[in-house]
Amino acid sequence: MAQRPPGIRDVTIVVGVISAMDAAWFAVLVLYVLQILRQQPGTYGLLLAIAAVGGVAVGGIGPHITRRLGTWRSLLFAGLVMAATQTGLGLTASVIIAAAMLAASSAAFALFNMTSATMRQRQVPDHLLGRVTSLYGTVAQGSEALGAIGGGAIAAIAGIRATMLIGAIPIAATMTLLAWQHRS
Amino acid sequence: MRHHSAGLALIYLTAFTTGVGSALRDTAAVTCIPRLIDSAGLDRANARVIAGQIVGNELAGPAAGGRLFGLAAVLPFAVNAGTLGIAVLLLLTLPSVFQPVGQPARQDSAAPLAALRHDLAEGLKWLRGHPASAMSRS
Repeated sequence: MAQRPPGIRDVTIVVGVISAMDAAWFAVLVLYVLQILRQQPGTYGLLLAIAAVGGVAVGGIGPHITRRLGTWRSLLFAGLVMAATQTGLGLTASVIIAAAMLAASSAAFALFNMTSATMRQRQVPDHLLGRVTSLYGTVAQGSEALGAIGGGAIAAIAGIRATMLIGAIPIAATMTLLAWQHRS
Repeated sequence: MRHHSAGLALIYLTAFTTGVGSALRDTAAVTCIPRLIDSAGLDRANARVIAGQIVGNELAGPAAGGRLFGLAAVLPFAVNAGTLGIAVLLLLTLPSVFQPVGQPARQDSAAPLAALRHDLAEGLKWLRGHPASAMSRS
């Protein structure tokens, strides 16, 4: 009966947190590029493309990472990279460092999505996989929408950098909790 | 003015409809992969699907869309519809696309809405860590 590890529920909660925190700063990224990094509008497009390359790279190296680290540690690693890159974005004024952070953040997201999809496909019984996946998607995208609204509010009150720095805290806290729960 | 607001409503409607479609697609994509590949290859398959999505959504798509829009405003939409049609044809070449997933027998076939609610509740229950009802029947 209890053949299901507690994993999927925890990952669903985690994806809610990281999606919200990511969307919070992503919503104001264009302002960050123009006002904080003081770049031309064209640079925004270039930075998005560089970030995407980070995600694509995980298409190649992702399976090697999960094979080496295992499922849980891959998820933890991805989450910690997200927290670290958000902090980096919040602190830097250099467009080069920001580009590297965006690429690493996008790679971490791709690694997280890949690992959690594989986890669901392996653990959830066939006839429930669609439903569990749609609930997972609802949590992820719902949190994203709320995070974007929150990000706008935080940026208005505390500044653009605050959306990145404040968001790193819940991600790091959730990951620490997760690591503690699944210590063995 | 009147013309303008009708156009906006159409854009909202289109955005909503494509959003619904992409939510369905996202769920189906994750669900169909284990039916095409064995457990050991899932990591690599998911990695490639995600990389493909990023290339399309974040790299090639926006660049091609901007370029096409510059040629004619209708082009990005027309090309999008055309490529979606091609995608459907490609999906039809996959084995057993129309084969239903092995479902436990269901009694409440009379009320589709109640059945949907029951299905979702079952998924939620499983997700929350009470697999009893779902597992005992399979």
